[in-house]
Amino acid sequence: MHVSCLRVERYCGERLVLNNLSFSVPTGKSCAITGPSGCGKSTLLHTLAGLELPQAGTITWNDTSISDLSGKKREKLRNEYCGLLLQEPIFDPHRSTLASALLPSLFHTIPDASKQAQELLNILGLSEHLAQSTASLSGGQRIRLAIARCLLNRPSLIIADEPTGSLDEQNARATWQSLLELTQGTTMIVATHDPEFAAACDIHIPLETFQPQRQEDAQVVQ
Amino acid sequence: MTFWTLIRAEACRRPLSLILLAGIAMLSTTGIVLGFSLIGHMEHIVSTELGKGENLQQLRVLPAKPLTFAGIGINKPILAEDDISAIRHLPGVISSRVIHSAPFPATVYLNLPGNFRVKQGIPIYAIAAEDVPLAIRKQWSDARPDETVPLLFNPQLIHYYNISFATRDNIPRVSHDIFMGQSLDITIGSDPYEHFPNAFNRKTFPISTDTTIAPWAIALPKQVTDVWMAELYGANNIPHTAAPVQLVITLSPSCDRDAIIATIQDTLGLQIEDVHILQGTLFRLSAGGKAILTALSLILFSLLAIGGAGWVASLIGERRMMIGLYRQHGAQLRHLLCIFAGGFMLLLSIAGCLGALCALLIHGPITALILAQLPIESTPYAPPLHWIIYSTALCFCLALIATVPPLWKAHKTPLLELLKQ
Repeated sequence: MHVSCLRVERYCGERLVLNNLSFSVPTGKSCAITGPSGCGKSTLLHTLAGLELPQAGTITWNDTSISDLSGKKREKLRNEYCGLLLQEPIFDPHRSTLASALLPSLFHTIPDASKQAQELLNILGLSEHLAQSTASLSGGQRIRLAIARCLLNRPSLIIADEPTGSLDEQNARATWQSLLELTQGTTMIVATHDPEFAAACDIHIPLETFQPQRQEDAQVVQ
Repeated sequence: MTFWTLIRAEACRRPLSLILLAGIAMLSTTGIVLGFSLIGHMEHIVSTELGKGENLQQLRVLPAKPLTFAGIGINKPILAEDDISAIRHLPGVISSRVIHSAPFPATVYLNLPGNFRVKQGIPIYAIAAEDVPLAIRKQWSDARPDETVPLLFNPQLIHYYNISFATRDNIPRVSHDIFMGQSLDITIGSDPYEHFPNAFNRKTFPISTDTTIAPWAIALPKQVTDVWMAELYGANNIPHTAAPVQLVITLSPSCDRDAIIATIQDTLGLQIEDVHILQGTLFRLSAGGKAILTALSLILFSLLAIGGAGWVASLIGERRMMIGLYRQHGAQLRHLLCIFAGGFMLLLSIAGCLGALCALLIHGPITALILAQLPIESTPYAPPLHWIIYSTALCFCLALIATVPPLWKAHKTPLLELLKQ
């Protein structure tokens, strides 16, 4: 999935958060978005995922301008191609790890879903916790479970909002390494504070350089 | 995890309210099907017997008056085909209905607590003369018709717990036992555990007309029963389970009622139990009743719909984040409908089916009770199948209508808003 962002502007209230922002991420590449808190990383990710619309500019997935689509079509496209990883993933505390990982299989046709889920959980080091309730998992385990759940229906694009933000250094490293390994060949856009993770990605966009007070013209990073 | 697991898990978060709604749905369906069934029945009566709403009379014809023997009325409880045919062809009889039931040849009046006196039908059986003790045979032959005489009970039908009764003072006592905390003058029955040393099999016991307990069977002198036994019982001495025991006839308003009654009573020797007036107002009542019932059913189902909508809205309110999660992973409106309303709709449909079934089962006795008929009278009317289907479908549709708006709202809420913790 080739993702591009052309002259995007986005306000949060009266504050201009994304100003004339342009970049593109080719198919199969990983892209890290870094920057201080409040610089608009999450807003950018939400806009890229079609959860929010830019006030100006265009977001395209392959050749489809998602910002021009209706909400229903945008959601359908997102459901089909995009996996979202949130900073603090939500789980039903009454379900087991395996059942939680299998959630996308209820809404998508995934052949051998159970087998695939178990394989993913095994790779992510959760094979011993399959029957365990999600409420009893640690923070790192929950993030890894969210990754497994997100990858189950093999999305073409993964948008992750600081997935390792709440983890200690060791756990964070293990998690992003797993994420990079499992998403090879998949377009991934990740917001992160971790410079090591950002360096490991194919593309690095330091968002502070796009802030309006510093940059007036469009920037293209590739 | 299957989709059904998810539906069950979501529905079971509020099991009590769900069961309450299902119960209301079931009762509503029962009430509505019953109500329309009753109206349908009334219309059936009106159309078949009342013509255009005139006041008509019904006579209930019974077999001949019983022969009183030892305080027990004994009669031939079956109407002869010839008599039925003769009555049907009397001038002024516009319709008739034969009621089939188990023929009880003997009746005894029971005095129940609270000054109730009820008539009880009991089967009889014949015994060979040589099986009857000589003293009893003498008493039978010498007794006046209104005199209390000893009777033989069929030991196969007697258990000490179901036949125990007091007698008058002049009747000899067989034993004194305590049964169920009551001191009884006489206790009759088999005694498998030998708790009652003075009991009883194949003994002769007297029976009083003043009994409070119904005997299950009595033996009578053979000459009394000889006349009817062939008709009452088949070749293997098996009693008839159903025979023509009553005839209900409807008379035209212009007929000579007294002449018809005289013919039935005096010429044919049969009894007339009561004269029942069928009023033409039933015709008007059925139309009004239908309107009231329709309004009532609309109110009931509307309340159910509001309750259902409230239930789903409240469940959705609690589960906003989960809806966000489901949507994040690809759930569409139809999925949300299945998860949050599927169980509810399924339960309501089942409740509707059960309610309709319940109405089907009890409509006979209820209709008979309301229309002042005997429960044994076979009614030619049953709730039409389409009413049952309509009621069940209505339950399902209302559940659907009630649950779609809150789910539609949740579906239209921006995903980010739902996912906020």
